Amino acid sequence: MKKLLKKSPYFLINFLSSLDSGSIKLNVDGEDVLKTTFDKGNMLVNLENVKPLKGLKILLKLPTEEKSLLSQFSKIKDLAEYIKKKNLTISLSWKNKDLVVIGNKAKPKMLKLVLRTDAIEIKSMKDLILLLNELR
Amino acid sequence: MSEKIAETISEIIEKLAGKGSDLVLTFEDLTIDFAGKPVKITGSIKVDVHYVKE
Repeated sequence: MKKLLKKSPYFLINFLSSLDSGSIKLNVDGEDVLKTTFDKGNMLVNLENVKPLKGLKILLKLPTEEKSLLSQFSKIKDLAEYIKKKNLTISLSWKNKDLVVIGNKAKPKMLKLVLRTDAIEIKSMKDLILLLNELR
Repeated sequence: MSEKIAETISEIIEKLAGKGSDLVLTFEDLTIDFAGKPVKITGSIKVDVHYVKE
């Protein structure tokens, strides 16, 4: 399984580039969790209810402080630049609040100097940390 | 980094399988460019997660 998934993020990005339009909803145990909308190279992931995902924070070892969060983002820098190279944009929002933009339409300001990439934009660090705390 | 993500996905599947969660993916007018031709998908898939340890 791990061997199969080893290159899955890049395979997934290649697959996403073939999606023109439409949406995918994820429901876990009867509860709507997220809706992902595709529109010509733009993918918007809107988290609606993170209750079924509780516990993922520990599993994913997600940080809840700004400094360690930025360190995690620096680790996906190569993947973010690959997304940009493929002319794709992945946006994450939670309850319709924009959190992160990765890829082509990311417009980082100061963060560009910290992460040394222009492919990752954090729209709201405060809401992002709030979300991570919700996943406890 | 991709190895770390793969490990994480694997752990999530293992966790979900252990919980016996029902995952339902609903596709609404999902248009995929398949070999230059658009293919439209609408419908739902219920995913039963079976995890086999290597």
